[in-house]
Amino acid sequence: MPYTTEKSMVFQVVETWGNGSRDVALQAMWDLLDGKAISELAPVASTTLNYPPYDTPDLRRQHVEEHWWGRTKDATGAWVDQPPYDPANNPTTGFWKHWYGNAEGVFRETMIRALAISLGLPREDAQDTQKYGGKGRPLRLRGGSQHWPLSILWKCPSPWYEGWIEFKDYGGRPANNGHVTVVLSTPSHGVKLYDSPIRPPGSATVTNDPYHAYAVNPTVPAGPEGLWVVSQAAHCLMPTVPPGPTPPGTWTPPTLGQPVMSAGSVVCISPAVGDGGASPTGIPYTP
Amino acid sequence: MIDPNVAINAVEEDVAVALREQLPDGEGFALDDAFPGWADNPLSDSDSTAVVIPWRWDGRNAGLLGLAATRRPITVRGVTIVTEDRDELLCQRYVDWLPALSQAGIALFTRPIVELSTVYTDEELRETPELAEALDEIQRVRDQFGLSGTG
Repeated sequence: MPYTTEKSMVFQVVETWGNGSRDVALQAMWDLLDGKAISELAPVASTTLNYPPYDTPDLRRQHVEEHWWGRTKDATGAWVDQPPYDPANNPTTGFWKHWYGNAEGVFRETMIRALAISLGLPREDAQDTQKYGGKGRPLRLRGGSQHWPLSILWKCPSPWYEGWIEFKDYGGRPANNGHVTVVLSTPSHGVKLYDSPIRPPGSATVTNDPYHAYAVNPTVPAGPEGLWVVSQAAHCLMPTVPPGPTPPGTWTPPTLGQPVMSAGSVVCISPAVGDGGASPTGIPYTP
Repeated sequence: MIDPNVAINAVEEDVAVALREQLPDGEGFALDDAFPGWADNPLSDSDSTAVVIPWRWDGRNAGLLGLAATRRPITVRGVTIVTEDRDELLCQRYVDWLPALSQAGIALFTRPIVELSTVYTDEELRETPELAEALDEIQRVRDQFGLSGTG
């Protein structure tokens, strides 16, 4: 994730999967309500995600459980929740830096609510979930035909883990006359952030992108899906002059970290999929 | 030869100038009590051309580092080495900012920012005219202000 925002291949598969069928989206919401492990949901196993370093379904499940939620396997091979917060021995969750919390719970609730809006249903209450979980829901918890497309973005870094849900009803009756956007706003997991949105045309993530998403200043979308960033061409961490001895009364508290100067013209970049961009044609869900 | 009391007064004024607006309403400047007895036996080189002054500043956060005021009490600790250049005193300051940021409720959340120039060759980067133009602009600014490297 060398950008501050990404589509993420797994989320693009989730979109293809969930947006393709109202029944699939309904079942996904019920699985989330019923507490099914998120790593066991179908998109994680999609073969279209078979890229290193998580190039098998088992590795992706492990990645989700360990890195996203901070879980560990017990002696029986079952995933167990992270230990309680401990400033010395367990100060963080999973691979998130400088943050401890219930990432799984926030993600689960975000997706439940996003799916409920997409499907035109109320957020199911706990009593109904207890009563109908795993047994099939009554019409009032599954009826209608609404199925707004869901879009998911990942933004990092933030000080803590949040799921934002934006939605709009365009009015009128059609089942897909609206949209839902989820922005997962998460702490950093420490990976590098490049100081420009531009990549050399021959860079590995551009040339190895099977979806050919990378473009500089595209005038029209390359397909029905996309993720563009508009920014100045480069961002430079400006070195500060090392302070030497100066007369008394000639200093001030420092700048927090290194100041940044953005330079160059304003550009629009469609990042490569390997860099977090969106495939112009989506990424199929393939069991 | 620097008179330690003169050095203390200079450092007190120096620290006050830097911190009194952002951290007012506290005890202000004091010699750091983590070094008991220092005032009677100041740390200096053999001929007192350099005097080391450990200090603390206590105040309330009225906008430390230009961020919003939280009014929380904050102690900043530092060490200033006072030297003399002809008749002028000079201060070299080493300030322990991280505990002060923590007390101020300032959390840092970031990622390491990497220059593309450490990943790709200059020739590769300049294949995109917009990036070439930006790199030239950055270099001009660095040259203008004598800012080389990223350190």
